[in-house]
Amino acid sequence: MSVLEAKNLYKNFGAVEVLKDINLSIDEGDFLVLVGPSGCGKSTLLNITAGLEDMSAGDIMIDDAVVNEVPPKDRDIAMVFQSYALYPTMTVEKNITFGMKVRKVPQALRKEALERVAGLLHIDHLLDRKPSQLSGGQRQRVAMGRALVREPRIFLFDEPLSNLDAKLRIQMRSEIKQLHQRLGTTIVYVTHDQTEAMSLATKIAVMNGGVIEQLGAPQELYDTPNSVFVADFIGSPAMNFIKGQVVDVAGNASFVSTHKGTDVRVPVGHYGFTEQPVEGQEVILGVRPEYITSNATEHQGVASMNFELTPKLMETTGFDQHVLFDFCGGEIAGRFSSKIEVVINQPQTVHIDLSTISIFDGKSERRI
Amino acid sequence: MEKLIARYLPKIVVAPSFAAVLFFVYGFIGWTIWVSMTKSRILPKYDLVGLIQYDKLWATPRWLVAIENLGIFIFLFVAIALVVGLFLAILLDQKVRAEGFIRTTYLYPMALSFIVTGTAWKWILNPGLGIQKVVRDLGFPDFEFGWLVDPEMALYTIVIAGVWQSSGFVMALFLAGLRSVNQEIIKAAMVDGIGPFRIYTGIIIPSLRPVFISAIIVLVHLAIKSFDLVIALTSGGPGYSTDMPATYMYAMAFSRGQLGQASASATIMLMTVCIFIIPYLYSELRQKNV
Amino acid sequence: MSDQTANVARAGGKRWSPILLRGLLFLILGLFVLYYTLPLFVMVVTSLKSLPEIRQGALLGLPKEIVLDAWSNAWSEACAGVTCVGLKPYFWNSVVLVVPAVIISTAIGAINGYILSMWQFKGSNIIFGLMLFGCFIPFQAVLLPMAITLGKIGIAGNVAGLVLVHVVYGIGFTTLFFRNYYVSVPIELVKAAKIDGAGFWTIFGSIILPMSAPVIVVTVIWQFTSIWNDFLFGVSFSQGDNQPITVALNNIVNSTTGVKEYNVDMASAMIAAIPTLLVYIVAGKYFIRGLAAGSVKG
Repeated sequence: MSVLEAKNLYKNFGAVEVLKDINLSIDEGDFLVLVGPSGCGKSTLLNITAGLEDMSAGDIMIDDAVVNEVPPKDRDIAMVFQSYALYPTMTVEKNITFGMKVRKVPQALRKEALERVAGLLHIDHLLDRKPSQLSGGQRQRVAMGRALVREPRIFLFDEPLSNLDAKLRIQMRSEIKQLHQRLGTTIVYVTHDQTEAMSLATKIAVMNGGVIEQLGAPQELYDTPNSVFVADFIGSPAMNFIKGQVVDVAGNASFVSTHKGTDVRVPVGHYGFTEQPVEGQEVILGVRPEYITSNATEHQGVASMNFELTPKLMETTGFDQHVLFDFCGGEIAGRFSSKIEVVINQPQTVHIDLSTISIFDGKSERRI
Repeated sequence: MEKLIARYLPKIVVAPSFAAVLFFVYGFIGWTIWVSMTKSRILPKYDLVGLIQYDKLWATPRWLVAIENLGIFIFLFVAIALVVGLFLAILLDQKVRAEGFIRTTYLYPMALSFIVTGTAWKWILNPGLGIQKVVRDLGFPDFEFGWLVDPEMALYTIVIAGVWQSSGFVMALFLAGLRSVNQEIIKAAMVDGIGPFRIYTGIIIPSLRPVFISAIIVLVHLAIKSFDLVIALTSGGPGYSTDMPATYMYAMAFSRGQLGQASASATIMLMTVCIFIIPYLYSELRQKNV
Repeated sequence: MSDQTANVARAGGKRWSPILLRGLLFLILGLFVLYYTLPLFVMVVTSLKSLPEIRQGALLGLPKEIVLDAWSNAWSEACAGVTCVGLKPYFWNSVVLVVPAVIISTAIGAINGYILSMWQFKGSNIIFGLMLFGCFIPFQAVLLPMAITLGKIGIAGNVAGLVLVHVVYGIGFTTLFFRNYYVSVPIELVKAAKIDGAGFWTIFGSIILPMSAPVIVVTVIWQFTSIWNDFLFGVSFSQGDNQPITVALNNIVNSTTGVKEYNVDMASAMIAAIPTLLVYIVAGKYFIRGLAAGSVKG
């Protein structure tokens, strides 16, 4: 039995299709992250799940029951908002217990729940303060407290960390993850930040233009992205893409660059094609910068190749360097250990590990 | 079921107000326009006869005087109030220490009823005992300031009183506008070596365009409605020399028993206001929806 | 933010000595302070003089001897036309008119503003626009039909009728103030409250209303001032004993019978002006905010 299920969900605003045929399901204890660029429909999907907006077609099911007509307060959900949405004229205590009061929960139970949640989130010393007297991180905790106290079936988070500064964001992220591990709650979380998605989720749904491009575990999306969009979105720095063709399909299947003047030829016989490629098919080859290193590395994968390339630009992160090379009419980025000396415009041996490449059809941009 | 009520409750709650507005504003406007096309005199009649009331109106000397007065008044009142208001706002923006006190002083006239203002200025401009006497006592025995009782000049006394009452408000609008001018543009201009006068005339004042428009709308609106001030200051006199469409309408409606004329003059007033207000409201509301 | 214009002036200070400019600035500002306060000064001073002293002229002079008779006369004996009862009864007429009119129009405006900003539905913006337009019409266009309607309902010429008129034509403004204020409240607050289980009225009472103090103050001050100061509706829809103070004032000042008692006229004007002046002095900055909100629509 799945906790939350969306079936053939559509949403239109007038003539604009915001959500198209959304299908997903999550189980108890899942941490589903909806991630994608602005306007992809992730917040709309969240609002529909909460019951704050209506769908144009399709169903939302919670615990196998269709809840389309059920108002938000009866769906057994709780929501944390980007702007926290704390009631400004109420103390922290009143903010957290407001919902319980509305539902006529007895005073004793309210107190108990308040203490439990305040202790869990380390906000017990803030109970008498008003939201304007709290810092951003504290407000976020109070907002989570308000949600936790409901002990709902599903927690919904709408970009809760976007208003925090970088350091605080990472700290809160880790706290949310710990809460999830401790309490085993089912969560649907919206963000535009792929790092957040990768670190928090048990399942990620990458959305684009109202459609779910891929739904799967973080590692799955990293290793075998379904499309150029997902491949580009997940992982930082982004995957390198090289245009070319697949040739000699019957014999030594290889990828050749179609850029004039280059004769790069890369063996792809080891690659697990999902459909048989056509001879001369236009494709896009994807290689992550993590697998483009200096020749000094020990690792020689199932397939690999060396090239002499000229570095154009180099950015250090302290631990490694991101180096940009000219390649096949475009640029590729590699990650070199910072111990390696890289000199701009001086040719350098570059080692490309081909065991984890991705190949996408040139026109549909889908994985083949 | 609950969802149904929830969906309709807001509409139900706002409905009475909306209905009231529809009836008391738009319904009544419709009535007035209708009656302006009838032969109504002391009592309203409802048979339409076309635009004869308007023909009569535009042939009535008193109405023509009122319209002319309105035109002159609007022009002078708006222009002077704008200039004074902008001037004072720029002055007051110069980091003056007593700004709060000064601002309060410039603005308090807006808190007064037009009747009070009219009464006060009627006394100040009193030909025998007012300003005329003050200046004469100062050593100018031939100084004349009998504007209040001079049919040619009485209108300008209304301008004086009106500007006194409203220019502080215009100043407040411009002051708020000046304070929201983008500082960085000014800094860039100063770095470019542009002098203060050019900065004001070339950058700051043009950027106050929305404030100009708001101020003009409010001032024109006040001017067209000016009834209280005229009644208190001159009662439309001497004779009809300071009559305005508003006082004309009132006279026709409540003293002369000429409901058709009253409705026609009221309709003309309405049209005049619409010409200004409708485009403004339209653009404001569209912006809000973005 | 007055920095930049001050800097601008300083930038051009090379030709004129800054002290000279500053002095000129204060001079001009001071002259205008005189300009605005003079009429008030004249009113007060005249109201405290005896008639003989007034007739000697010296408009701007302080009273040689402070005489309070004009004030007591204005309050209880002054003649408006035929009746000579002073302003007292009309003062209370205005009070009885203003209090319910302000309370009702503010309450309605608050609820309407709440609905039009947080519970928007198809056509709610059109409704708002139509209500807003009602603020701007010259009231001459509704004067006659209103007189007839009040007569038909049976409340013509008394306080109830005037209250109705002021409420109906005040709703546009009060709704505008509240709606503009509530529009800047994040809608997520309402979403959170819905999830917490609060309904339409609970959200209004427990969450929105408690945070409305600023706009309530502005609206009440605005409504109080414009209803107390109104003349047109007063003179059109009330008669005799029921008239508000502005109408009575005008009657006193413009009555043609007897000797012109300038000091009584001025005292009467002051009595009519004091309530709104007091409100302005005490809560002036809210009043200014209300003016700006009503016209600049920021």
